[in-house]
Amino acid sequence: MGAVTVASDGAAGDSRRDGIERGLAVNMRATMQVATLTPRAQGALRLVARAARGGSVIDTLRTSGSLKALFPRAPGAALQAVFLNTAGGLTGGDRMEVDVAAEAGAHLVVASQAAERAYRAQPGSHAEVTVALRVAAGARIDWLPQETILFEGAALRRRLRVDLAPGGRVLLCEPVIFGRAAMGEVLHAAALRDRWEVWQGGRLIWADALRLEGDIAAHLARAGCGGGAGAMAGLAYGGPDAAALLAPLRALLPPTCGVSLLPDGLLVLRLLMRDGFTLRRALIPVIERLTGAPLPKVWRL
Amino acid sequence: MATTIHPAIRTRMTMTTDGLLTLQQWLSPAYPVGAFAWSHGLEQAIADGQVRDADSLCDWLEVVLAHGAGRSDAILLVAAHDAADAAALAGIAELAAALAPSAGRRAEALAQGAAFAATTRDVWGYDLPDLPDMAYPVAVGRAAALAGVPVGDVVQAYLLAFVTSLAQAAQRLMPLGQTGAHRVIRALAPLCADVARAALAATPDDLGSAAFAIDIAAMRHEVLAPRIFRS
Repeated sequence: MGAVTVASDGAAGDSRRDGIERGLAVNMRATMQVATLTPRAQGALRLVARAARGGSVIDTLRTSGSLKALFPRAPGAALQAVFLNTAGGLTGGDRMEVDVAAEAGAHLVVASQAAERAYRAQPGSHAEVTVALRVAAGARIDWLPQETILFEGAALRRRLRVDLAPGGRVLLCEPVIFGRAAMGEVLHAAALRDRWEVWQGGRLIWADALRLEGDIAAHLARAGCGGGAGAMAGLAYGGPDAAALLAPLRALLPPTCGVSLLPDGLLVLRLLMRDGFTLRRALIPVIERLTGAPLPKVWRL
Repeated sequence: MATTIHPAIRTRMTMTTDGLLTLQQWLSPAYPVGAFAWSHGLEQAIADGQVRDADSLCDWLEVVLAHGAGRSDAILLVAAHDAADAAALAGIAELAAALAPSAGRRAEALAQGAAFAATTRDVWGYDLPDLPDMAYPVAVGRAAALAGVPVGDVVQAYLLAFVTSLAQAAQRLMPLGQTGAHRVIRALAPLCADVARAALAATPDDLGSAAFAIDIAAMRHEVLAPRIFRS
């Protein structure tokens, strides 16, 4: 597949401890709730990219537990990282921690090897995914994981924090598919919480908090919630050219989707589509317009 | 240190005559916050046919209240009311402004917040900080703390004023009529009370919305032509 595996467990102890400490700081309440449960799977990925020789290279890479990273050869000046969760999915008690930085002038594209499956969690437990992205001035991170598929009974909490230096660029995209449509799965009891924060110069410039719990199919059927959608994506783009991209993106979007330009120069998008296939078909031209480059191979339809 | 907080839960739901009248004045359509100018995306939803009669309006507004800005504003209002000092209040204000899902919705929240703060400062002499990003629920929560109005009553009345304003917008945009609009408001009043009660026990960690199509309608409204509302 033309990819090189550069996953190392050498620093696993350190980064796992780092991850646990950060997790404590991030969500004391959630951590206390699960303190009595044995974590099923843990994974941590720490990656720093720096500019070199007219392109971008790995500066630091540490992985531990079930998170691995691949670095496929890709055209262009960006460093492409593809991560995978070797545990094969997420369930209650799982903890994944991703910490990615792009130093001045570096361009990093992060995708996932496959769609992430959020399996049924034991009552009272949930899977937790924490992502931190740090973008220096003149740097860029494209955060492009593939879809998360929620199974009946799934309980997933995610937090994503971006620290975007002025003059940096960041693209965020998180698609979610509600149930395995091919199997006729309908979500009557599942929970998804997703919190995004974009910070710039010590100021919170945008936050998005998603909370979808209980009979998700019934929620999504309502006109004001999902309008019958089976899949959804949230996107955000921050960069000096954000304003110029507003009109072209509007022209690309189907009528069940929207885009807006916030006063701090952040473009935000929300897409509701019938299923995972139509969502991906709608997303590809949008992401290509935002990156000005073809998508990572893993993303092709 | 700013003002004192109301520690006892029981004082959070009982009101003196003074408090009742202050609240009525603040949340009356005559208070100059300009609520009539904003439709919260409803104008787009009506143009698209997502909202077309009393039933679909009621369903749309239930989602606004229980899963959208209604619930979020309620939590933010309580948090602003309970903020221990100026720094905590500024943090809540920053979060409230950042949570707006589109440019139009941010303008809706901040313009009403600024107008409420300005009038309330001038009339009552309250120390409402002139923050550039003080969203409407944050300004109301802070003013309620300064006035000593029980926050549980404030949140209910705030939510009822919100749906009243949206029902009146719908009245201008589709065949509904005054009686129809007030049937919708009456039907939603118990939900206003429920959402307010839940917000008293919530913290900013509990914030979260599932009103995706409502947010999308607000985004699409930014280029709706012709339009009479600002959101």
